[in-house]
Amino acid sequence: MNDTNTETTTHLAAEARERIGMGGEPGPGESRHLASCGGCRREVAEVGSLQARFTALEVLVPSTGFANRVMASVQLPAPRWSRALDGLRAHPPRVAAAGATAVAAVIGTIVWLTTYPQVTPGVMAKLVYERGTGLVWQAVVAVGRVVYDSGLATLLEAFRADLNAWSAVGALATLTLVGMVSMWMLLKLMEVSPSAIRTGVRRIG
Amino acid sequence: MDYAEKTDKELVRLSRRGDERAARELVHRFERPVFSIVFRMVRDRELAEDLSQDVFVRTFNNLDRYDRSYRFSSWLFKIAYNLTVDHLRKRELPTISVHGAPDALTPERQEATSLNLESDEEAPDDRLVAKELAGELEEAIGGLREDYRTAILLRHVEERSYEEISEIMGIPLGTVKTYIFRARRELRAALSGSYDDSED
Repeated sequence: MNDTNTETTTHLAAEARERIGMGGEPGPGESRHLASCGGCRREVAEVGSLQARFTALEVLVPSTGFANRVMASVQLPAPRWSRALDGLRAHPPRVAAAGATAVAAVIGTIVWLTTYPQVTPGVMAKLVYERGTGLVWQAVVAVGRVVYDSGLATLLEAFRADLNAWSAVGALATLTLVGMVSMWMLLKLMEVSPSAIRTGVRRIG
Repeated sequence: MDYAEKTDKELVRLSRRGDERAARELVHRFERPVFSIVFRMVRDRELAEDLSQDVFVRTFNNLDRYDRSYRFSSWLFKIAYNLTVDHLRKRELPTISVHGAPDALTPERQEATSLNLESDEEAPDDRLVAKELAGELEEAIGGLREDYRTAILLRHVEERSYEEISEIMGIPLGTVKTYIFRARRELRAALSGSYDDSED
């Protein structure tokens, strides 16, 4: 609560008179001044009277259906999922490539795990936990193998030749990397340029 | 999701993502204050509805320009003020009347453009007195300059701070104070016959 003028001999500031007139509580000094100053009291009362008349003014309401007309005239940006679908529809070859890569990664993982059942997820989790720092290097080796062998079957054959826990972890890291790249490509495809989400206006005649 | 409980800024964020229900809630929340202030500036119901509709359309079409450091309602009122003032300046409307738009030459047109001061909550006698008083005030407001009128309506009807009015109207704080001071003085003069001076 403001108490802008505590001196009873000095008139209240215009802001204070207005604040009190519009329903604000006067501070102790302001109350004392108002009790002794007819001029300030009159001005506060005038503001209060005017405010009361404004408060009594009718709240004006637009005609029924106003909100519907507004909403019919506004074209909001399409929801994010809809924009994502539009983005996918706009680039079928890239979507197909990204999807095929993702599917290959998943199938590859399943095939690999079923081919080498001794490398269970539990074993891999234990290795990840124990030898986490070596994963990056193993991933690099595995990627090198993928590039060198250029094919999942050849890759599996290579792993079969010298299967060990590290090659398993490396392969898993590779597949994860492939999956992440696929996801990244999908997310990039889902991005829509700002011009595409500009809203349009249709005026009601 | 209960949209009625969300803040204006949350609704704006959702509207920017294309959430139509959020946009509709914003319209529902602000259609009356926007329409009221536009109506009191132009005094023509049809025109006020068209302008108010334009206000919301422009607002939603420019949501990406909304600065979240300001109140959404202040931004909305700013658009309403600019749009209405632009229209008034183009048409150069003369002083306006509570009984209808100045260009309302037929009874139908006067009916369509006049202020509706009915209130269902009061007894008939009280309603009549309130209607007369409100009519006098509406008439007096209509006689003010457009910038005085906007400033006094924002202050006394919308209860906006001087700083917000300054932001909405795009004028310095000192000018806002001057406008409101002069508007009050002119209103007092116009209402001197019925003014309720409770102090001697």
